[in-house]
Amino acid sequence: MLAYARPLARLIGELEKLPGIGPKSAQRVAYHILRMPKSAALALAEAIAEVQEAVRFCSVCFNFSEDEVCSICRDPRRNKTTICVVAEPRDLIAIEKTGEHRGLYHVLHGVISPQDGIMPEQLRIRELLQRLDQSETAEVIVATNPTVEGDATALYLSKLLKPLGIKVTRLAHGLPLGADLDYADQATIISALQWRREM
Amino acid sequence: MASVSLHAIVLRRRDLGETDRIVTLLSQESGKLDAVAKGARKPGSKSSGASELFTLSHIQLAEGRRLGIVTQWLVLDAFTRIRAELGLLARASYLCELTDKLVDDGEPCGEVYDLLRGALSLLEIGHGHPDTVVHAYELRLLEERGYAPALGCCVRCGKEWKGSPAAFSPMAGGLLCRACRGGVEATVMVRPATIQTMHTLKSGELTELGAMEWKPGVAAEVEACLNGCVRVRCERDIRSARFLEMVRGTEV
Ligand SMILES: [Zn+2]
Ligand SMILES: [Zn+2]
Repeated sequence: MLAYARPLARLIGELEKLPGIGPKSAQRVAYHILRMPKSAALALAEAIAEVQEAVRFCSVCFNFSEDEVCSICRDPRRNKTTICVVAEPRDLIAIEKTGEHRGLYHVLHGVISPQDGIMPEQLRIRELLQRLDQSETAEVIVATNPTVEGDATALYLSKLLKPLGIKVTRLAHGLPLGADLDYADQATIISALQWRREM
Repeated sequence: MASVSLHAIVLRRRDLGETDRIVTLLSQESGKLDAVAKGARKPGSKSSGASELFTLSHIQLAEGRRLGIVTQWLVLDAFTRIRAELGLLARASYLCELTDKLVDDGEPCGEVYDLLRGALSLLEIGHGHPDTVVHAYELRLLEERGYAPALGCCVRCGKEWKGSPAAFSPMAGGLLCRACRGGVEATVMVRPATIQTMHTLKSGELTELGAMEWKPGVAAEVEACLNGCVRVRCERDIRSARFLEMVRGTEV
């Protein structure tokens, strides 16, 4: 870092802490920012400051939101009887982009991971229960990844919610669309066989 | 490039970069080792399902720069029933973590591999009470590592156990007779049936343990004794144990 002017070294240092950015990319981005018009650089700095100030968790679904209650939870056209439970906000975005799910969401902010010591009480599960208690939810769709941790989370939720008379479903797992059966691994094919359905 | 063929179970895995994973494997041929599963977090990749926890595969391992790279996975058992039942998943996680913590990288341990493979298979087919499998595995793994608790005689003076209620000390490493019990910390008083049960769990044919009956009160005592033994031998916390305890609490 000796060759860099001190403020430049600082910026590169900060950028390097970001996910997916190594020293080379950090240097490239820093030089790019340095050459930007002052107004553009300030806009970037303001956006970074604002995102920390103005974005919080929706008090209902725990997605990121600008307001106390997010736009999805406020939308009167959404189906209030179905809640799709996701691990992370980015999973919500992935499902929302499809336009297929017209119900609400609940973001857990993680998954149960026995080996990492992540227990149910560290996730937003208590809040989900409170929410179900106060609403007319008929179905909870568990949209966790088809990993062991995703399985653990889905199984735990199903054990917890079924006695409340709520239908609990899970996203199907199996062959990816457009994939070659021939190329899929056996674990995926086994899973696809088990999740098969009548046509 | 040199490539080896291994039979291996995934004990642990962690993310590497954007799409890869590092898996900790217990192999029959080369003991415990870390390897890279390329593209394991890309949907539809050959290694995404195979590099999941517990999965038993026949793999090809190529030499890498620092870690070996798995170039082929032939899944022999994905243990799908274990992954479909919270109680089994919790127990399998615990067995794998316990194995990871008690086995060092690279030391030969074909016996431990056979034991773990056997235990996971018994959980998968639903052979008897799942805790029978867990406790039999704990005892046999401890024995394999040279840490078996003394069950036939007093661990201090060697006096033979004659079937009376006795004290068990994980710290001392087994049973203590009346004379040797004094002043030893953390002893558990156990009934004769508990000691008998631990004998059977340690020495009985693994595949025949399914028929084993648990007498009232014995399960809790066996659990306390073996939890203690495991804790003495593992320097680090077994995180899955907490989850397993919680799941056991919800079972009737
Ligand atoms: Zn919301
Ligand atoms: Zn003695």
